[in-house]
Amino acid sequence: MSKNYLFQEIIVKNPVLIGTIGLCPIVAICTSLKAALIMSAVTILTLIVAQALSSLVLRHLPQWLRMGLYMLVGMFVVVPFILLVEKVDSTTMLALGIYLPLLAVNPVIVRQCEREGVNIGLAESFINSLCAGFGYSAVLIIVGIVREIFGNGTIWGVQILPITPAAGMLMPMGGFVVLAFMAALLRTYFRKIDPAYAEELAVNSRTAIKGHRGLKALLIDSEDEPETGEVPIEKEIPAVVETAPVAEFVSKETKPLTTDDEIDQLLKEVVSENGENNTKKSAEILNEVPTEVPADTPIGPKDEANTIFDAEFAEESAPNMTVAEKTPDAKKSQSGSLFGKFGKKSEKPEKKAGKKKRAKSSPAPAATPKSEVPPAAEAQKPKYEFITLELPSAVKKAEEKAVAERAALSKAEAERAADENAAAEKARLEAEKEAREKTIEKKTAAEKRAKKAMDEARKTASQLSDTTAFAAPVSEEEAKAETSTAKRNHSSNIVYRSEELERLMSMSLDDILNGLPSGNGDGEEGEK
Amino acid sequence: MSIISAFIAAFCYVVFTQNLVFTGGYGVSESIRSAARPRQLFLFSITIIYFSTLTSLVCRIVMLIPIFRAASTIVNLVVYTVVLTVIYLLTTVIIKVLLSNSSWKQEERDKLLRQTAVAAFNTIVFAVPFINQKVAYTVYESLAQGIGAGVAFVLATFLIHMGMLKIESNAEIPDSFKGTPALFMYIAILSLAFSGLSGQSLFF
Repeated sequence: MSKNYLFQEIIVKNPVLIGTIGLCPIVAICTSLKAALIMSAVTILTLIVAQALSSLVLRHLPQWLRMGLYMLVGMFVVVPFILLVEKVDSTTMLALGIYLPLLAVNPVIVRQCEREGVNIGLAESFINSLCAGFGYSAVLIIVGIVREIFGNGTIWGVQILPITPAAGMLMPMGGFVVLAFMAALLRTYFRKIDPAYAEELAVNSRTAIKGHRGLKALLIDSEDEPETGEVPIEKEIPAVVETAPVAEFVSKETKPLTTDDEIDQLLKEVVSENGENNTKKSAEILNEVPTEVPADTPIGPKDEANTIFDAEFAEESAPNMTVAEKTPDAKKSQSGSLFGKFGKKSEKPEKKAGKKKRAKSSPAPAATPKSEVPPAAEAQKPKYEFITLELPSAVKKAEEKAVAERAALSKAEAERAADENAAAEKARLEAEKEAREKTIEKKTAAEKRAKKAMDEARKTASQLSDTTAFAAPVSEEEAKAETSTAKRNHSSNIVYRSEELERLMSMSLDDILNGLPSGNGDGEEGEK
Repeated sequence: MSIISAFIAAFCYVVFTQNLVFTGGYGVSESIRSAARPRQLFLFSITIIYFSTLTSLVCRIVMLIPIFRAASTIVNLVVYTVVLTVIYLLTTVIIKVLLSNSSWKQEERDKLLRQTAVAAFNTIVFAVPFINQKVAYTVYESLAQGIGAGVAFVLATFLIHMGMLKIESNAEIPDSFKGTPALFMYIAILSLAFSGLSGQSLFF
């Protein structure tokens, strides 16, 4: 068990931070160091037992039956733990509640058993389960410590903070926040040592939920191992518009080659349909297709299982070559790649045989350097070599070109849009300028007209003042006399009106009626 | 009338007020994985609802037997495990029989069986009988709890999927938080929101 192996199993394949499985106990109940340690112990023991059983016995059973039995195995491990915890610390058992029994269905167990346990021997299974358990436990313990400190202000029950900074950390929300920061730290670390892998860890989902197209269609669309892999990275692969020979074949396919039947069908089209022409065509393809894909090619999903397997398959197919010659990933590893840097996991022959089928459908890079074999000889190679080793590179090349064309197209569109925007802006500015000039002209004209009117008015006024002064000069005494007369008349009028009002108010209704002009008979009464 | 109202109350409680995924963390891993594969959501959700409902109901009925009424946690665990395993095996056998004469390929059948297993052995399905026992739900309420657990899973998966789309299209997320960290933060906010609905005190 080397250091590299430990690093891969505990950090690179961490079930929580990379695989996002087994979150339930962490976010719900892992609020203290004590709870974290209990959960860790249960998980590690369950993993060891279940993986050992799967390595020895369960591997011979069908998968659907195996997956049911994992739960029974988990139950048989959890029950003694419950008895032990109840006897030692009943308070902790109460705090753990129903989450301790729920560890019987921990998805980490199913994942490890199905991925590793059924493919490796007992000794290796033991080591593997220990590593996976430690990886899971490390996250549990860190989350437990952080949440206990921030939620309770304690560590292992001992008060270390005078206050509790955030009691909300004890809720599931706190667990998710701590996990988010841990995942961010891990991602930052990966970005330093292998940026491409860090980018692939991002969770990409499809752009919309597809409509229901029948049960069978859903199953065909589904992934191979939904329950045991990492969170899927589903990237949209751009349409291939390449005119190269390989691209023609690729563009005929409406879906990527994923099964052996599809590859065989394509092989028949290439080799058998038109005989010699296609053989030549194949030779051309082999000449054109690069044997190595750049490490930073941003196409298609890639997980660490594929990467590891690529190296394994290359080793199997060309055992005498050095690691650097076998795969691009291996080359990448020499220059500091995440997986290569920390070595390759050794596996049993049965695991390799089990994954051979997967190799045909996976975009495995070329195992043999192209320069060692002349093109004519390559054309005479067995069919499967051509398809499995060369075609994915051609697809990637064609897709790269398609991506580049799309980028150029979008760039041209952006430039055109920018030009249009600039023209529109210019037109708007000109219109504003014209409007401003017109406004200024109008204002100037109005001012001129007003000035002219003012001049005329002044002129008229000066003429009138000359005339008035000449015709009827009014003395100040006369004006004062007129003013005082007007005031007096006004005052007497007010006095008269107030006197009249007082008189009317003092009169009774009969007096008012009697004061009216007299009339005759009915007419008089009617008027009254 | 009281049965219907109790049924609806239990259903709404487990779906909205105490959403099992966000406030309890049950099945959150599978919810994230289903949200990342929306094409599987329909089939997977139906399977989850089927198993949660059936397990909840059968476990509740079994626990009405006098021997199991005052049983300890260990007995409950054994009983629920056996019930869930039996339901899973029966369902698998039925599926295999139904598909034996169909035109489905072996690979497709295996995928269906694998998904069935994942849906059956899930914390959200397995937690429902424990919650029923803890809260002392009646048979009708247990039925509502089972259906509600499945619906809560669907609701959570849908919300997480929509969040994934937003996160994917958001270019302002720092590089270190792109992907899974941002998703965890988003789920944390949702969890906080649902905890608020249940009336818990958050920081005091």
